[in-house]
Amino acid sequence: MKTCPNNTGLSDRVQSKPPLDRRVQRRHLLRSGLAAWALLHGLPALAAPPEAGASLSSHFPFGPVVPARPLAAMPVLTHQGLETDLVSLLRGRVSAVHLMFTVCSATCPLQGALFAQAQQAAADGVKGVQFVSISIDPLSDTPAALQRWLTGFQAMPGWVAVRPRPQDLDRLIALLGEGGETRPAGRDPHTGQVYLVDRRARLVYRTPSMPSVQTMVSDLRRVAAL
Amino acid sequence: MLGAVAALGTALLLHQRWSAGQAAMGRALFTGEQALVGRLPGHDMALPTVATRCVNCHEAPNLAPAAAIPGDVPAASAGSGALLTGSYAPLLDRQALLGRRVRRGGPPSSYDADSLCALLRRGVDPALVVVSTTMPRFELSDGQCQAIWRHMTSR
Repeated sequence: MKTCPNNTGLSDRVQSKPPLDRRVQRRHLLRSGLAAWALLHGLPALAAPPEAGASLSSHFPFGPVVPARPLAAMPVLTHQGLETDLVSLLRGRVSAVHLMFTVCSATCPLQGALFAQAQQAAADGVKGVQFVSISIDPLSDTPAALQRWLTGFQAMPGWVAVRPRPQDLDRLIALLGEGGETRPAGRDPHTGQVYLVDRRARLVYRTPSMPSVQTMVSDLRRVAAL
Repeated sequence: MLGAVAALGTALLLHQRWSAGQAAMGRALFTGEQALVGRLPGHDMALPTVATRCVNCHEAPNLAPAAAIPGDVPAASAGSGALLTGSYAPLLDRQALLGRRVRRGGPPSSYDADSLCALLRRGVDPALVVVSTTMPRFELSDGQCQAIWRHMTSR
């Protein structure tokens, strides 16, 4: 069994009390999160940037991505062994996307379990939604490994796992993650965020790390209504 | 006199068996052989065992993807991931739990069975610091808590 880290590790490292500027940053983060939530719920008055000139996309670790960010066409291999293109895979459906790898056993099982529950919950009433697990370990994650991973979570049709080419990985992670949560240091660059992509294959929303199923499904519903 | 010694011996034997049984049950809960009901904080839905077993984070080797960064492929680990640290979260044994330590920036603290149960159920450590939100909060009986405590402190 193998594990993967992210930026919310459980280490017992000695930490000093957060300095005041960190607390101020947290308050700012909270304000930003509330504004993002308000924007998504159609409450523009609340969604006004907290400071003049602040940009949604550059300051929110989660929330709407403004403007919507087109994802790049790049070859991917699916768990069924089919070669396709990421944009072709995403276009025409609302997609919940996350990053994972199959030999990760700390945070990825949580991500997989949440996708499985969200897929079941979304089956009742959110049409045209798919779930996409993108491996950040393309050298190891064969279609068979991806298939086993999906099977472990009782994935239903409409949940696809893909691996990009190694040379496309950095670009893909940057496209999804830039402006989102800080990437963990080290070789594992993934967080527990879910990226919501509209029917035009554009990134439109990022959830916080490990979103609840209810939150994920209601956010998907809103993206589907766009 | 002989009867009292025999009774004492029997009691000790029964206690040892009970302790061993508790530790075995704790081990089964720790590894996921016996299911634990857990949820992420703020979530309504219970997680499957594959996502709640303690060993996922507290025992398994911590690996990174073989090629998370293009061109950065550790030859020895390609195909199996690169070893980052011993485990994702602290290894839990007698020394780690009973030792008085600074944990998560709080004042020095150590665990006892009750404080471990409080952490498992509510995510609050003995120094009243909340642990990571990626750690599930568990629905545990007192017996299950005791069993996990016995397992962890028996190694």
